[in-house]
Amino acid sequence: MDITLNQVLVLAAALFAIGLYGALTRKSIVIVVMCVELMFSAVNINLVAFSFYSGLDALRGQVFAIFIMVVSACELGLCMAIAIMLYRNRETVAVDELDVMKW
Amino acid sequence: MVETVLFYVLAAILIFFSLKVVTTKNLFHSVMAAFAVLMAPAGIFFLFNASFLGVTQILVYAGAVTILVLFVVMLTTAGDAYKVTWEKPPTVWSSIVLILFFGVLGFTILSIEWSVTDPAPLDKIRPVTEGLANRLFTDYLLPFEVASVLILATLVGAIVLARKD
Repeated sequence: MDITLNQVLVLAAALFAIGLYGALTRKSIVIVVMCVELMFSAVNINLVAFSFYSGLDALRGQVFAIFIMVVSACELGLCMAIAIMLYRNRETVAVDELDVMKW
Repeated sequence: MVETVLFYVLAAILIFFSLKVVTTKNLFHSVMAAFAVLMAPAGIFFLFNASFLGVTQILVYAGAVTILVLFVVMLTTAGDAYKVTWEKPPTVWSSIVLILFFGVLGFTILSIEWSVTDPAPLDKIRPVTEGLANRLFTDYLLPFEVASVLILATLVGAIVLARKD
C-alpha cells in the first residue's frame, strides 16, 4: 500500500480544521452540530489509520473509534432534541440570537 | 496503486464537500453535503482494513444521522426560512485563521517522526469483525455496557426534551 501515515493525518487535519471553522462561523445550531460530527469523523479516521500502521494491535484503535461513534451519535440526538425545544420556545435556532447568558 | 487512487478520490470528495457544508447558505444543501462528507470516511475505513467500522459509519451517520438532521432542519424552519439569509459568507479573516490553523496542524504532523510499521499486505489480513467482537466482549466489556446505558439515557432524555407538555 502506497499511502503513508502522513497523508492520512494531513487529510484528517484538514477535515478537522474545516469542521472547527464551520462550528465557529455557522449560525444555525443544526449545522454547528453537523460540523462537530465532521470533527468526530476526522478523529475516527486518525484512529483507524494509527491502528492500521501501528503493527502491534490492529484492533485497539478501531474499538476506540466504535465508542466515539456511539458517543457522537448520542450527542447529536440530544442536540437535535434541544434544537427542537429551542425553536419551540424561542422561535429561532440561530446561535447569535440565543444570547440570554450574555452580559 | 488502486488504493492510492481511491484514497485521493475520497480525499477530494471529503475536502470539497466539507467546504460546501461550511459555506453553503441553504440549510438543506448544507446537510446533503454533510451526507457526502460522512459517507467518504466509510471508504477510507474500508481501505484501512476496518470494514466493520465502514459499515457502521454508513448505517449510523449516512443513514440515521443525516435523516435525523434533515427532519430537524424541516421542523425548525418555517416556510422558506431554510434558504436563510442570515448566514454570512466566510470573511477573509476567518479564512486566514482556518488556513493558519490547518498549517500549524499539518506542520506538526509532518515534523514528527512517526514510528510506522509496514502493515501486512491487504490480502493477508484477516477479517476484523470477529476480532472486534472478541475484543468488545472481553477487554472492553465494561465500556460496552456503559455505552448501552448511555444510549438508553439519551433515548429517554431526547424524548423528554422534545415532547410537547
